[in-house]
Amino acid sequence: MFRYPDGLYCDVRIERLTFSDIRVDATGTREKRCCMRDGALVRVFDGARWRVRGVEDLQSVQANIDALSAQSSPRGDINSHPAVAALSTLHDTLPIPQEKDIRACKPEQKEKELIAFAKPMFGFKDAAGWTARYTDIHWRKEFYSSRDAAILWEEQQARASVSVLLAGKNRASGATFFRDFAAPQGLSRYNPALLTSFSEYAQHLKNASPTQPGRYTVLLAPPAAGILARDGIAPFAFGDAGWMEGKKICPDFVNVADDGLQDGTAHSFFDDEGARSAKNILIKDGVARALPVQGNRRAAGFLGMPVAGPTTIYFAPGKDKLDKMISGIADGLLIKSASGGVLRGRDFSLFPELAYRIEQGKVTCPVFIRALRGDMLELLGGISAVSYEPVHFLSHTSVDEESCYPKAFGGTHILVDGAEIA
Amino acid sequence: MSAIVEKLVLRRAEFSALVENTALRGTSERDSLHTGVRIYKGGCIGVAGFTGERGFDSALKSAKEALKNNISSPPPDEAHRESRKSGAWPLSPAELVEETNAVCTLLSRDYPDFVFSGGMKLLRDAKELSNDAGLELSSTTETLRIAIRWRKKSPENFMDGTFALESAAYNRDSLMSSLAARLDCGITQPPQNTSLVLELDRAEPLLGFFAMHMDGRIPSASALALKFNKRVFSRDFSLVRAQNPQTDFNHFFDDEGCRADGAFLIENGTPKNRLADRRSAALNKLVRTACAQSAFDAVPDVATGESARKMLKIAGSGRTLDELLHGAAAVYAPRGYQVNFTEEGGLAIIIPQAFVLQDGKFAGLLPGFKVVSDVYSVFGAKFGGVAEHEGQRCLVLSDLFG
Repeated sequence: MFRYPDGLYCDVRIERLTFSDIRVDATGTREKRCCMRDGALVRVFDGARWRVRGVEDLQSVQANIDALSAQSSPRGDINSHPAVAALSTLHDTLPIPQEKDIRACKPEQKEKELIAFAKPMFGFKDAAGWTARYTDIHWRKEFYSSRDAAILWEEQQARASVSVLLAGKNRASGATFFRDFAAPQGLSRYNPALLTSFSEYAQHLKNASPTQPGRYTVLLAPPAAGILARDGIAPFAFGDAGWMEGKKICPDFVNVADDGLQDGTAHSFFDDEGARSAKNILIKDGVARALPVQGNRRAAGFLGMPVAGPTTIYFAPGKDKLDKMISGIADGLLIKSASGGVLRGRDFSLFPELAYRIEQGKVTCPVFIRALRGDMLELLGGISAVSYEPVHFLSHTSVDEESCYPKAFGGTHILVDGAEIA
Repeated sequence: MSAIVEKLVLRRAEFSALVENTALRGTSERDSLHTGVRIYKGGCIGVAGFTGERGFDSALKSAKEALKNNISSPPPDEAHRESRKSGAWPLSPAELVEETNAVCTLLSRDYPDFVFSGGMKLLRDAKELSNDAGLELSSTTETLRIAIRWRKKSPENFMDGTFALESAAYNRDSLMSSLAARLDCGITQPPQNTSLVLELDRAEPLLGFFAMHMDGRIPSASALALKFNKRVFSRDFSLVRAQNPQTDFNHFFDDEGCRADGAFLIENGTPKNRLADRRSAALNKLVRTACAQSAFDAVPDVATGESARKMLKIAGSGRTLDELLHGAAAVYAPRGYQVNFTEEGGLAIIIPQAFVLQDGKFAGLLPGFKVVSDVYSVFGAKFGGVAEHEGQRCLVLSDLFG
């Protein structure tokens, strides 16, 4: 397809992104766009240095290969260079069947379904304001290289969400409810769950009181446990914090996996270097495992460089019964959801949203928590139970082409002893 | 009724030198051009866009078609013309590669126990907004961004750190001196009863509370709703929407052409105005504060989250850091700290690494710690003002450890 110069490794990733973005609020439609973007990332490696260029004019890909090659120093044995020898030589084509292609659905249908999804909001008294949003993304990716790789594959995802603003006296908060689906049909089936969720947030805002800083036994519900996996363990493993391969970093019953083939928004048959995605165990029976060398290099946006990172990362189920985990807590906290987390060095902070006190084995009053914080090794070492239940998966979707590297996360309930609450 | 046609052009050029394992791994470049076409007619807006040089006629047709979506929007009402440029690339792309190599060589020689990563990036960001109602604005920013992370080659991680700087100037000696000031510090104990100096980020996390609670679209959904036009913060604290081309590397107008020429959101401790675009200002009778944002082919809306934080600026004190600290030692937290807020304004600042600042120099390294407080204290009794220190804007907070 392209002409590659001798003595250099070269690859080209072409992406065509088609997306819909529809927003509706109480005043009517605020956004309704269906757009397409395409671009390519051209990379040339001469054994010493990568030269990379993002190209938005697909007619100029060959010219950019030639230009980057002219800046490089060819070497005869480039394919035996370790960095090149590991790269993809695959041939494959995995399109989405036409009958499942979300691009075939008309924007008017999507808007209608979005309004049905958000219907309860028109009478939801606790909302000071709200916005409903429908987004879908369809990616078509192609990968070609001087090692003869030639792959074409497609992925798609669709989501409806409602973000609500809740206000009390001198306090206010936001909450979001979303559902992912294969096709925008019958979205009103989510109305009861939406109402239940926002009612809980509204009650929490009205009744929660601040938590005194200190050390607590904390039960992380699956959304919060998943954020510990996504924002704590993933950057610990893939970032600069010094992954402790082969070392025992948590109790035997803790297992963490990263699975690029797990259904959901982070699903991709291949990574952005044309290697097959796979399921990788990051923590096995409490021991940090070696990181995979292939299959998890994803790019942030179609002009971004692929870097090693998580796909769908999650805590695998343990053996403990949830009701026993709760009944064993004399004085602790339940964190039901969190807005995110951050790892700096090995220091992790989780930012809770919905949280409750647990007293004498019962979930009691709602509380505000500023942050849960601790050294990753202390937090992971403090895990005292993991519930036996299906993994609850969550995801992240964005139609922003700068950040469309999708990650998903999940977990079950996780009990952490002696967690520091700020 | 006649239509107004508006064009938003965004051009972004980047050249990066990427560092891994204290060596240049490669270079990366991109140059993108995106154009948005908007039509305002009959109280509605239609938007479309295209990538690259060609596509205006087709986008115009799509924008006209999009008017049928009945998305309400007041028409543009500005007719000013202005062009500004802030910053300049201090190095050419070829010089950037040379400099990155040179810095890596020095770091390998002087700090063999550390591994460095990150890199340096030249960034040019241009925005033009014009319409046939007489608006013609253009802005270009050019900067060098440096982001360097380091990790000690040992199982301990308390020496891990980061350095970030965005500037239109570059000096290798100055960069090495800034890195050395951080890397040469030994662990020390925090001084008692000191002030905390926070290095302010371009999207400052401490302003996250205001980004959420000053949203002009829904004024009632705010913990500050009952506090507007009452003094609830320090008289020395003002939050403004302004751009100084000498020091601020962001655009001087928002995505609807409203100029960021000094609108106060909080003035001398009193919340006055909200983050407002043209529509929210009209609906809720607010002052426009140049806070509209949009993707090039999307309907403009009020900036939220990180975008809003990038627009807001704490007004400077006009004094030096030493004057604000009265010559006393302080704890200095570089960028990279995180802040989380509760619904009523409680906050925790999570600081992964800090330094003892004495006589304007780093005198010791402190391991991570947290500060627990609330916005009314941080921007009230404990607010000590903003000053510059070695090219970084810094916020002084007093008695936070008391």
